[in-house]
Amino acid sequence: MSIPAPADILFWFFAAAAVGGAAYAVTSAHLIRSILAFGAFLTAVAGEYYLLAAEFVALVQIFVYVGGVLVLMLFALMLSTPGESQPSSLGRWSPAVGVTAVGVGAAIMIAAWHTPLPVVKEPAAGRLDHLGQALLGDHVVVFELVGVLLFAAVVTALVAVRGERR
Amino acid sequence: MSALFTFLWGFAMGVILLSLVGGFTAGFILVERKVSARMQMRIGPVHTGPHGLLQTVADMIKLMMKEDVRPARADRVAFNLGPLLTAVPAVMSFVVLPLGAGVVARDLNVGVLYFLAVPSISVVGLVMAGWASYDNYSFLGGLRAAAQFISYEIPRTLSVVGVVVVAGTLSTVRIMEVQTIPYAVLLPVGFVVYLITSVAELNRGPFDIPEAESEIVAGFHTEYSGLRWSLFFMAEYGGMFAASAFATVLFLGGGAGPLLPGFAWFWLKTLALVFVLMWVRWTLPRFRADQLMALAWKGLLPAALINLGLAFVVLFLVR
Amino acid sequence: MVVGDVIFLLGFGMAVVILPVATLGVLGWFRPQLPERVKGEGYESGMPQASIPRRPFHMAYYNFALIFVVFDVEAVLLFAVAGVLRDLTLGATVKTAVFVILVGDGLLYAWRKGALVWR
Repeated sequence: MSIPAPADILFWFFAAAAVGGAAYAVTSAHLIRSILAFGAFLTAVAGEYYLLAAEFVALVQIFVYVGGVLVLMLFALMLSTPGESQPSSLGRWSPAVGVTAVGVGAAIMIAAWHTPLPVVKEPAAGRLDHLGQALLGDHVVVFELVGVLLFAAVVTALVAVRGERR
Repeated sequence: MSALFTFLWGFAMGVILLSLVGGFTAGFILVERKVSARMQMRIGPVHTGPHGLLQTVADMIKLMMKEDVRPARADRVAFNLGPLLTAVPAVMSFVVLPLGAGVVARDLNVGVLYFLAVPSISVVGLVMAGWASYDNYSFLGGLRAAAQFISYEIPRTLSVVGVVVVAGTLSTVRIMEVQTIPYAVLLPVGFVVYLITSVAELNRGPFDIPEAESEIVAGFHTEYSGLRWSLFFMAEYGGMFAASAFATVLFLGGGAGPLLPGFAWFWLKTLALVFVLMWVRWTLPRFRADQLMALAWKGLLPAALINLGLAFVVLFLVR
Repeated sequence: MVVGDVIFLLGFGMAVVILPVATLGVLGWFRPQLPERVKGEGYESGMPQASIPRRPFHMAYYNFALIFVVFDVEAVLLFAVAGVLRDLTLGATVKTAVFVILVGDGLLYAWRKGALVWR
């Protein structure tokens, strides 16, 4: 019985951390801890990205998700009255929703398991360059559209938060 | 089992760099006290050890022996996590710093982005610390610190992007290698923006409203004592060195320079920048919260964008 | 190579986390433990804690955090592109400039709307 490859050990480590963090985030009654667990989940996913030789995406995850979205969530929480979360407002629909959620989740997992994914033996040497070149080359329209989207996001955010004034 | 070796090597480097950061903190605190003293026409600590050199050692021992006071209604998990989440990312950022010509813990392909991304986790730590302390003033301090941090993060990131555009690589070691002319000369605006934003990110200098001693006691770390408190300090002083070292690598050519070996030049430049940071702190009056935010969004961010434009021009000229 | 990076970072991270925590724990044996009610209260210049913590706070924080996330994404996308500009044509630089201008426009908009004022 040989020791599994380091990459595999790491994969399962991050996977466990991600699932554990997500589970705690969803089930905890304590909102702050819930958000912290979500942070742990995001970091674990970043680890998985790194294992896939997508170092850039991993760092984007940390930079934007943990450093930005998580902070936003914290601020949102601080603006309301933090503490214990409300009991579920689903009432008699809870079992149906639960079953649907579990069903969908299981379906996704089974589909993922049976999807033939490409096996990458050796990470490509100039992958960072490839990304940049793709963004400015074949996918430049998408790139610019993202710029437009970001602009729209600013406008929307301001309208949503401050209302239609003046 | 090269994987195991890498892990142990990583662990060892972690221990070494952590000790290094601890040493810096102790040393820099003393240096700062001496420097600030001279600037204020007094002498600073002189009693403990020759010329007061053992002052910080004494302080450290005192801190470690202090009672572990915690607010009764503080959330234990968050209270403990706060300093950790603030200090750990600061030390983690040292991984990509080349301390001298090519001596780096790990030359990540995306080193530059790593250095900027990892400390952004410490915002969460700041908010945690403030919130967990169960005191409005700490809480306010934490939120302000967080708002300040994220506001200055964008101009900082953009000023670094300018360097990446000219250098063409995200690796810190490579940037040092390809830098024939120091980028501080090619992109002076970016250099200045980077320095100013770094000071603000560290809650230092004229940007220390969140921990302003005369305003809201000690802000988000009011309720912390002893070793937990020293973790915040390690984050600050360690971050100060890291920011200076990063500036040296990105803008001042790292170890480049005549006569002396790269190692020496690197440290000289970095320590010079650290001195500048201390100098600024004790010279300039503190910014008000709204002035601070205005400076970030209406001043430094446009400046960083202009710097980016300049970088494009430089790129065009270099061709 | 990349897996090596992860392993290294994990080792490094563990050292950085475990050491301070262990030090805190071990030294705990040497510290006095004299709990008093007053020590557990928040510090407010010596007076009994008057403010009730965890009240809702200003919207300004949230405003800035929102705008921050947008610019965060922009900055990171620029990172993706910045590294290769050196080796590409002028057209690529122009395209990047267009992107930057688009987002800078967003900043201008927020500025004009007075959303960048801290209260």
